[in-house]
Amino acid sequence: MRRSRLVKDHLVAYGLLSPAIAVFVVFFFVPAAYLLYISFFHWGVLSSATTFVGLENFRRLFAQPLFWHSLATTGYYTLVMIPATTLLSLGIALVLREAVTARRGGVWRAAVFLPHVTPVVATSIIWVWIFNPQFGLANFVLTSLHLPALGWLGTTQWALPAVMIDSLWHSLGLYVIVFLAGLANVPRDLVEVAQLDGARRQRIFYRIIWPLLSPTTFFVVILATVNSWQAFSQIYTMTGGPHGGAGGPAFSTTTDALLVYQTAFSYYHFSLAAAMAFVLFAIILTLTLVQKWISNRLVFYR
Amino acid sequence: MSALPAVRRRGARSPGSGRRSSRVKTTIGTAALLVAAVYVIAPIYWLVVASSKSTSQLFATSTFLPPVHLSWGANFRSLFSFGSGEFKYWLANSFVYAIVTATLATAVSTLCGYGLAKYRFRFRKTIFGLVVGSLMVPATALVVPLFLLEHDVGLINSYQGVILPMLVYPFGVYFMSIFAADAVPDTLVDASRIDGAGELRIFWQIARPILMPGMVTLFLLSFIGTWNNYFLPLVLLGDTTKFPLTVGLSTWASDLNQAGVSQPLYPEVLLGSLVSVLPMLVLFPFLQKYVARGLTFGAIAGE
Repeated sequence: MRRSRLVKDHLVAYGLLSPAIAVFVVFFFVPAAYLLYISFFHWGVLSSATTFVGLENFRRLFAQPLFWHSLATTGYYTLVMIPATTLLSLGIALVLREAVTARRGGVWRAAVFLPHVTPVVATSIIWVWIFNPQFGLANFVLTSLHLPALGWLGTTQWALPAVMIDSLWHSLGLYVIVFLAGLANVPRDLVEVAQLDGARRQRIFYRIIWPLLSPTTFFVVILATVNSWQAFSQIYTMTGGPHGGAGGPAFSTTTDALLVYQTAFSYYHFSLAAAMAFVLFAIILTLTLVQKWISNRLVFYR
Repeated sequence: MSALPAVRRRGARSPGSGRRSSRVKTTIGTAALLVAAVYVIAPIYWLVVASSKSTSQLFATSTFLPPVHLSWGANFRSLFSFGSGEFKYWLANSFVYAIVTATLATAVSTLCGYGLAKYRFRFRKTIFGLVVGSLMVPATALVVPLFLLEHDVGLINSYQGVILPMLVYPFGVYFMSIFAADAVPDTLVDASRIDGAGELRIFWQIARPILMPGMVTLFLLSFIGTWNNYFLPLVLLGDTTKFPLTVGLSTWASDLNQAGVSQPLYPEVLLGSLVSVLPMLVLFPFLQKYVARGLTFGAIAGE
């Protein structure tokens, strides 16, 4: 009886799991293994002859100045995006929670959240327009504030910041919602007791809300890091798209993911692209582990 | 699940601080919120306005004001007729990709999540670990081998080729296994067994209704993700009639940047973008709470 129960459990469980196991193996683990395989072989596009070249692809990759340039660009992009998204979304979440009554809260929340569920491609089209040097809203705002107009996407200096403003806009809602959920978990009585004791707002924030919110903040930082480091669609479509010089001008917006895509599908260097994708994966994994390690010291888990 | 963000139910004013300073702060807060709201809403408002203009009006009239003559009708006609009507294929394709992927991905993840949560079997921990581990792998990294593999077996340029990889939904499995562990009590499952119900019947008649809210969340997240997905179909599709809206629109928009294109497609690109945003715009207010529950899940589960 006991044994038949065990066998039956296994049969039922693996039956339930089998569709998931099938798609995970075929479309996830096999490609992942294949990625490693390709990056250690020389890959001919037309000839089927593949030869083992060991670390040759990585050596060639590291000898490419453009690869290092793309790493620096991605690093710059990520380093700006992490604090910008985290601080701004935390600020909006705090204000939303404080200044708005529950009845209207839903409307504000929906408004802030909305951009996140719209297709990046469509909204990037809008932002390209906003950054149009002649007709765009961005320069209209700048000149109204008596600031000099900028060339935005046409310049090496401002193209990436323009993309950042779009990305920030698109992702903000997600992080606001996450922070609101975190804030809802801060025990209200704790805050109220502190208020009764006459604690000031800043003090309540730094001493109670911030530490209790730190797991949420950590989660947001990880999410922002991973999303920024592999950002593709908004950069690709804003800087040219399928028919024109994406990643430009002068490679100023060529991030890691963009370079992987172009190496594989514009230049057909599949093995080099695979090596690059492997490095991309390794970097994201390392960043996550480092942040996890730091968070174990800093995050206050109840 | 207390994952739903709750705005403070009681008055915003705190009992300890003075009334006036609190009111000033609330005003500053509201002002900041208004600025944020403009940042968030202005681009979408602009899209609605701009898509109603003809090409000449687009450059002649003030950016933020509605046009003298609404050209939505004419724009719609040319949107659907341009390039032998490719836009209507893209629109239909986007719905096909999103509905099929969301349905199948939800089914696959629910079965797997329920199995992981409610049965004890060998390698259960290993499988769960692999699922959580695959959450960390960036999709971007797998696109190159995926393309080569699909190329070898002839899946490139097919609907299945795009849909099947999107059924790999580690978040869905993770979410559903935690959701099922919480929502479906073991005692209920055991009681049904004693009553003589088979395992499949327990899943279908007892667990499935309880898991429904979680399934709705997964369906919506997967629908939104597929509808908005760009990278995967861009890589795996070459045939323009199989494009989803995102890839199709990006080819039109990309042509705008090129010199020497015979007909500037401004109204079509803008109206096309609006059409691609519209389902989210219309559905979102109703579905917000399900979507928010899914997206905030990681933050809460991490605690």
